[in-house]
Amino acid sequence: MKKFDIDKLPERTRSIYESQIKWGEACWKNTLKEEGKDIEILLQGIELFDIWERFLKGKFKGVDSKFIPEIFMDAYLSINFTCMGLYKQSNASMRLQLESVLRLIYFSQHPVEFKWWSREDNYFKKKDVWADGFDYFKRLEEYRNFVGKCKNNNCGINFFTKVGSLYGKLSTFVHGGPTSFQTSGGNFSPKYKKADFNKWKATFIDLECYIHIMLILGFPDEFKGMPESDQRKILKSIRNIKFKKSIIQTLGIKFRGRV
Amino acid sequence: MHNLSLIKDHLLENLWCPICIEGGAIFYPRLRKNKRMKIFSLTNDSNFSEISKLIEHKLIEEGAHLIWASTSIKKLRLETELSEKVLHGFFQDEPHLAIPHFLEEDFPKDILNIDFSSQNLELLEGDICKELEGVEGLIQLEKEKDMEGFIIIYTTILNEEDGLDIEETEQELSSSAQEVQNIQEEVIPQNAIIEHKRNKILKIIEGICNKYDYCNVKATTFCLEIPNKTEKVYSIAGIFKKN
Repeated sequence: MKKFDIDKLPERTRSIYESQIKWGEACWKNTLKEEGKDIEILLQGIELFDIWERFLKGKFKGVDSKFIPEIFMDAYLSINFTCMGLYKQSNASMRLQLESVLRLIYFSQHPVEFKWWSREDNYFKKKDVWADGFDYFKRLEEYRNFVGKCKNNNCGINFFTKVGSLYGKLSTFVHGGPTSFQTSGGNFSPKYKKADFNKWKATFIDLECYIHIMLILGFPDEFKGMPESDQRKILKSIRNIKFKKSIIQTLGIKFRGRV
Repeated sequence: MHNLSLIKDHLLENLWCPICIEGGAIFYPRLRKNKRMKIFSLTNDSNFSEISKLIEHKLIEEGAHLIWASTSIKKLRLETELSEKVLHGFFQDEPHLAIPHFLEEDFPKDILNIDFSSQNLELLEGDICKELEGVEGLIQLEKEKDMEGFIIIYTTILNEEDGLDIEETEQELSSSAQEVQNIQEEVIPQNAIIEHKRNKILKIIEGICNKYDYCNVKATTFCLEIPNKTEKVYSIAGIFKKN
């Protein structure tokens, strides 16, 4: 087996290796010094995917086992990139996470198409499984009921409009939009920036909230089959109180005390 | 967590390793330099010393084992440290555990280190019963794979609740339980309920093994207090061989 020897690395390779190791560590330390508590809370939040994994396991012909680890890793890497000061990549990772969730829900009901899609990445051409404006989801009974309850609870902007708007925001980081640049003021190397961290954190919290709403509506029976302690953990991540109320009403489940 | 880590190190040194050495000598008497046993271990990302310790004692070799962590985050951490296959989830809540076929390709194992104290500190009602169902699943799998014998290390956290369920589990899991034999127990004064549970758990594990035609060659137990807590860590390490 080959042994790693830094002295044998060519000049440029050694330069990138040393600089990346150094700034990676510095960014991690600077971010955790300021935001360590928030990072711990966000990490607790992504452990909720372990609950989903446990309750979807083996029920959807391999679709669940394919997507849930990916959804978890996209969230994990988004936190990782942020702690390294790579805000552009951390936002791009969130878009990937959202797309994987939408695909999980769609393919769980369309296992044959899942096989076709697995063979040909471009199977859906320009449209994706969720189609224009999330049409697919809007037609599903649970989603329609949820949107109805949202109206009754004066949730304001339609849920899918919010998801679409968040998707658009994340897409600017994938497509290199003007607000997504990671180099500024002559500096190339990524650094911890309070403002960028806060923007990312707000988006991350919104995204996890929408993702759990979509998963609950996409897998209502599995959610209802969870113990109350797990249901509560998931509902706690839905910070929008009106959405939370609407989803509880949609599923017709009752809890003692505050959720 | 720090306290539990110290307890684990104590158990490893004084209970788990000695039993594994003895088991290795029984199952692989001709392998003198390295016993090359295979382990299934429920472990924790902050202390997975059993793997390095057993490698150090030349009881297992690196890279052929199955590790289980409670969460994806812990799995990732373990993957960066070990070259073993790491699975994750709350082991006692695995829906297929009664017959854990998803573990089939990785079994049989010589050492079953079923350390629930490494998985989740929050002990919920009925957890011990679920844990013991998990133990039965693994022993059943050993039997299906025609294993001649194995070392079982079962570790859990005992509190003063959850007593009734244990009685039911005893009936469910080990209806064929016989009187426990060859038990060398370290006597530590305990609260009566915990003492009762210790005896029951031992009998249940013994009973499960008997149910699958494995009899105990040796079993030793430790019950250790967690500093500043009412709970205790209880560990059974035993060598079981086909009748």
